[in-house]
Amino acid sequence: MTGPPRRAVGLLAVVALLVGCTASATGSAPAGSPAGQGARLSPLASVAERQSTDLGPVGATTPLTLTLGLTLRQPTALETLLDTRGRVTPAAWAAMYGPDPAAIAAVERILRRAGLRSRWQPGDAVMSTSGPARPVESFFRISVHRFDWRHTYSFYAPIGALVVPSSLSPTVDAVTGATNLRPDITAATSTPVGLSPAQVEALYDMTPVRDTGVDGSGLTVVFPEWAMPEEQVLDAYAQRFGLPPFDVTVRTDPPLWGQPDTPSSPASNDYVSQAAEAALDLEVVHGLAPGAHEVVYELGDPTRLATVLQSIVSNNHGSIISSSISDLNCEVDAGARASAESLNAVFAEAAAEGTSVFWASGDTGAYGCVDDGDPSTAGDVSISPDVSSPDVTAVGGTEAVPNVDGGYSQEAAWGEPLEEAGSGGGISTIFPQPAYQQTPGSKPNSQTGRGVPDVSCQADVAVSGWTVFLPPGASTGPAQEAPVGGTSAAAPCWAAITALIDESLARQSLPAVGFVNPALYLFGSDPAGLPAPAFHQVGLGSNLHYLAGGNWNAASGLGSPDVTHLTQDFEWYERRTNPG
Amino acid sequence: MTLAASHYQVLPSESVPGQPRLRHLHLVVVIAAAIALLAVVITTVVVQTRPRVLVCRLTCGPQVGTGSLGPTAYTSSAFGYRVEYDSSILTVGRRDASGIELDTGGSSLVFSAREGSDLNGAVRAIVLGLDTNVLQGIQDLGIVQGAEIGLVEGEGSYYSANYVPPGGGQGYPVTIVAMACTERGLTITALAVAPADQTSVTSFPQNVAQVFDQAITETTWPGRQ
Repeated sequence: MTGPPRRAVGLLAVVALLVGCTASATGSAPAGSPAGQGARLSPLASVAERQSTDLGPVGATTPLTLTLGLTLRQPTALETLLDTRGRVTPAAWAAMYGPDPAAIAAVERILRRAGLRSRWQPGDAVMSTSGPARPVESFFRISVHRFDWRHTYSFYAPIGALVVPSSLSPTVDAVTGATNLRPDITAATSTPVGLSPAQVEALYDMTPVRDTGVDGSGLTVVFPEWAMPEEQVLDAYAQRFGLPPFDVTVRTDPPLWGQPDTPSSPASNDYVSQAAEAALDLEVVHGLAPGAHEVVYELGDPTRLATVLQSIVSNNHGSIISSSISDLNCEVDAGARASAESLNAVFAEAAAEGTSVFWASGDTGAYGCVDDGDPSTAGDVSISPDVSSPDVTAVGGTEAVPNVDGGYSQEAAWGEPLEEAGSGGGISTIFPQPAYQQTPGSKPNSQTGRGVPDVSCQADVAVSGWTVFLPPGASTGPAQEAPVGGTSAAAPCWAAITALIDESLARQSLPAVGFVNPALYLFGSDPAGLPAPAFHQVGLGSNLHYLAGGNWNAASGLGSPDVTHLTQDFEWYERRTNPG
Repeated sequence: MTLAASHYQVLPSESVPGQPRLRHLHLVVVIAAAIALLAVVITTVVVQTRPRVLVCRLTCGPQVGTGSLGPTAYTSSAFGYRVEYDSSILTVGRRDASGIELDTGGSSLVFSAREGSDLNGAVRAIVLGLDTNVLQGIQDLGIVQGAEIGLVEGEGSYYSANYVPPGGGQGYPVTIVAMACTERGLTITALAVAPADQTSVTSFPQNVAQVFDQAITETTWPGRQ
């Protein structure tokens, strides 16, 4: 690794700022210009052209996989169902709202004639199709090249945008994939002082709920991850905080989902990063809901993310899904709409079947394009297409400050200007404002797009991160105890809280919360009869662009939870919507 | 107390043809346990031999550091604001009634304050106060998104320059950040200088940014708690 010499800049000799700051401000700042703005290309092409070396076309037989987003039936009826928090069985979903099987059969025939394989099950909102590079390129009219990034990372990606071939329209409404450029995770950075599970319990008023014996038992939290930490890492966490052993199931399917990272992967450093993300997710949930069963769907191929998500939804009805994986795109990038629509169809199925989905809103504040490698959009205010779905609960981040007793003191939206880090949030340019966000008092009427995030939880890394144990190699020594933050911690925070609430409701023979957004926005509007305020509204700070404040804002959403109040509110809500 | 001992069940996906739902079949559990055991053995062997050097690829995971000691506080006797900083990482280069300079390695963060509420003027004053004999070729790189000090929003800009040591020696590029925020007639400024890092989006090194952001966030304005 090379870089400038590490020596003191000798700032006092240079600046004399402590004196200079009181001088009058006259004259002008040094002349200069922002970084160059190039033509807007597809994000992958921009990465390739601007940052990587094009190594030419991939081999003719290189296996490629694409994901096809499929058109759902009865979209208006489905929207009404979700707005009213209605639920259907998986069989009813497939029969009423899922893609038309006859139309899918026709698509499969077309793909087969083109030399491509396809994989679809009734009800699935996405289909994967694969084949050797040349037939894939020919059918989808793309050219896939291999690229080298700074001699440390190689990947393949299509040149130009993917479009739906006319022969597949209108059954197929989006195409993504043909790249193994991996989306980033949203986990953030370390901080000097971390919070224990007990401290988070006190901070968000979980203790009265936990004191009733509720610990998430009987509930399942499911995560998509790129790698798993070794058992000893989780054991270290459980032992440190006096928790029971983890109850984890790992699902893998390398032929279909790709080979996950392992310590022996060619780029083993990726394993450390990705396993650290999984450790954070699993530990946050286990710390707050130690009775919950945790299931990890471990994937290795980024083109299979929608496929894996479909498998999670299809096989875990009524569970709680937590994801800290972030789409590499932002909404203003080319190709983002296809990605968003593919994922949204899967999220709609989850919502209709009573599954809760919490998705980290991202760690680059309002600037979701910053980490996608496309300089042409790097300064744009935009959100990630995965969290913009109206059928997912987007979880943003805050900086929570406990009082001297460990209870709630105050909270600010998470934003770190020098790191360009903060709570992902903004207004979608793809999805319109859903009905639940039009609840009076929940959000400004002037906005026309889906607002993100919906809620938030502690994510700050400067003041009060989460204490977790991470795989060796991420820091020094074995199973390193370290404070970590980011919305990667906020999403599992809400997943764990939902497990506690679901168990509380089950004890009273009430249904699980399922898709929570309609209820959360109703609580945020403080309706008559609501037992107690569900949220700590956040009135300080920003996500580098949107200021906190009001009942809802694009930095912290409705706010962070008061879990005891939230549990009471859901009991009230379920009794009201399910009388008798 | 019984020590925790976690064991993963490593199972294939439910969509694999011919694979029944696994939680209900002992045979599959036994197979999965065997796979898990094999995975543990392989993992253990591999972990013993893998390299420990972290290199960030195109996208990066968590940047994980070590924990550190609690914060130390500086209070400006002239303006009443307080800065908490991590004294195990940052050393005090200089302090007086109006501000403090905090250093780490080759990077520095300087807080100061002034009467008034002219943010743009305060940012310009910071830059005009730089010694151009030592920081040569200063170029404006653009604004700091979400500039804030102590949760009060403000303005800021990035600059590039070439640092030339006063006593001679090899110069090198640096990135400069100047921010100013104002509340109730008081303006607090923060100036950060660090060796340029071209792997960072802003050219400001991320590890330094994290440490400096902590101090910037942990600044308390007069009259606030």
